[in-house]
Amino acid sequence: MLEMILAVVAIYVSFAILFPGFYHKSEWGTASLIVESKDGILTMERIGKIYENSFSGTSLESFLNTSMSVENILFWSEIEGTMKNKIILDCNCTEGQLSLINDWFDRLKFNGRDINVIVCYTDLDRINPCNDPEDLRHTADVLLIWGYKNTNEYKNQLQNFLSQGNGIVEIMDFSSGDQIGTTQKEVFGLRWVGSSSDSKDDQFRRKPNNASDITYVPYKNFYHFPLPLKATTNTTPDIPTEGGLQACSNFTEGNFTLNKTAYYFWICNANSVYFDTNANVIADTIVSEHQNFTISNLNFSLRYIDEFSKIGVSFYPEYRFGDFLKTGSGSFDVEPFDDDKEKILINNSGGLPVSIVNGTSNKKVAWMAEFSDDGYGDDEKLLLLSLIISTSNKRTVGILSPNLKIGNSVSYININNDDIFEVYKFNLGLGHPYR
Amino acid sequence: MKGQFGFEQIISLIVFISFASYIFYVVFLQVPIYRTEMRNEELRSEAYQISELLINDPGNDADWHKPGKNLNRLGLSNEVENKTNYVSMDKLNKLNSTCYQPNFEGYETVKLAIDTNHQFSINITGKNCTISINCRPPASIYRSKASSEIIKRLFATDQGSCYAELNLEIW
Repeated sequence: MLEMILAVVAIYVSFAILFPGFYHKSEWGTASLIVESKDGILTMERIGKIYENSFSGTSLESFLNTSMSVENILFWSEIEGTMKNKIILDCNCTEGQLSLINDWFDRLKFNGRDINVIVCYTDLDRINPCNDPEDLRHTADVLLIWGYKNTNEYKNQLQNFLSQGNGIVEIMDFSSGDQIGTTQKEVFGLRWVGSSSDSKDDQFRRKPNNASDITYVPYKNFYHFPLPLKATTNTTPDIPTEGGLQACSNFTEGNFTLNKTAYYFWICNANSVYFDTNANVIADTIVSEHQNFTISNLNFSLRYIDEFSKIGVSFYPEYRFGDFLKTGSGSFDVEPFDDDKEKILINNSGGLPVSIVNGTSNKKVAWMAEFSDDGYGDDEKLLLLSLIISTSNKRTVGILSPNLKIGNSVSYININNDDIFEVYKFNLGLGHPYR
Repeated sequence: MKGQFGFEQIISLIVFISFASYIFYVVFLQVPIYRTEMRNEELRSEAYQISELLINDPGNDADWHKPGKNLNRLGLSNEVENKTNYVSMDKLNKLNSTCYQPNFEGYETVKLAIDTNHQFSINITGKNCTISINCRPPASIYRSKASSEIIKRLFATDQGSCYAELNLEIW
């Protein structure tokens, strides 16, 4: 009898293992989250909030808290393929140069969003000393080497830095062929070709052929990124005007330096800007936000007025720089190492390269000649800025709860063309805790 | 030797009875669960289809909300812009007035335009604006079945930055 009972129990147990009962696992929860993410993104797009919510975690969280009525949902988001809100710039430069960079690129703004450039000093044997305290995975995006350095012994460190999707910009003059070592050849793609001939005027060598052209991004950034121009307290009781311009007594003032000539501007009542376009320190033109204007036959657009503190000015083609190459004694001449002239971003009227770009879509480097002779013009600052933001890392960065990636995400490719044509991927993720 | 059972035959009989009773046990236990799950899946599928129709289809006639036009199929999408998750406020208002026709005739009209055999309720609430639509059947048939499925859909409207949520319950 005992054996029979044991046998029946054994049979039931073996049946339960060999013939398991019906088990239905519904994926509806996952599908429902994906539908909610998609609806959330499309709704943001339809009400014109997608761009703001893509780059502002606070704004996105506020929208999601209002719109998502499902309880116990966690949100996270990230963006990919465009300039980050925070660009970490490691600079191998002097304290004075660090201070200049901090001053020039303080509170950048484009397409309606703020860009914060965090600058920190780095040695070349240990790049990446800084990271974003709000997202520890976000380390240096771009390295700036300012002034001649023998970079041969740092080739591996530089290549390793580039392999992480970061970029390198160098501002360097060379006085002899010996200074073009393996790193300059293999990383920056430069070669020595002899001493230069004296010439004036630098300009973009050509207009890029298409978006995959190696010069497309720096060209686009130079000609569209609004350069911030700071204004300070007024030194005169009224704006000095000519040509019958209306007077304004509530203003701040600043100057706009092009080709070593200072053109003054005055921000009047925080809503219009008076420009001196003939460099006589008297206003002759009033410009409103988004209005184009010319100075010395060069084309510009006033992109924003930030109260009384600063304005943003975009350059439009064709711009000519005063020559910023050292000429005469200590002159130099470099060319693309592979003889590919398409990599020359800017050259002077004698055909001598002033800025050369190199690399692939993920490893971008740029060289520009030292431009500190006779002070720093706003045009030169913009060229440096356009190289820095063009080469900076565009890989995925978290915006909302970057350390909380659970559940499922939906991607959306969005574009904005307020100041610069910008294409990026926005990922919105939703998930339930403990699942 | 007639009428005698061998030991092996007894064991075989026990194994057979055990197997058969196990199968019956499993079937009787699982079939109701299976049927419920099947019904739920069907309800979810139908709820999703109806919600897609409401949010992303302009309906037929496409401008059914205008005077003199017929409501053959219900859809709330703005027929001019024809964008996903972009609903016409005029159609929402028309749906609201249709649903509140006396004696629940409006509900029946909407049900015909949705073309479903299930009972449902449509609840639309503005998230940052004042929209409130509640289209549901008479109380006598409301929640006549134990299980129901709810789907929530977020959409924008063509009135400024107003956006709203659709809660569609089906049973």
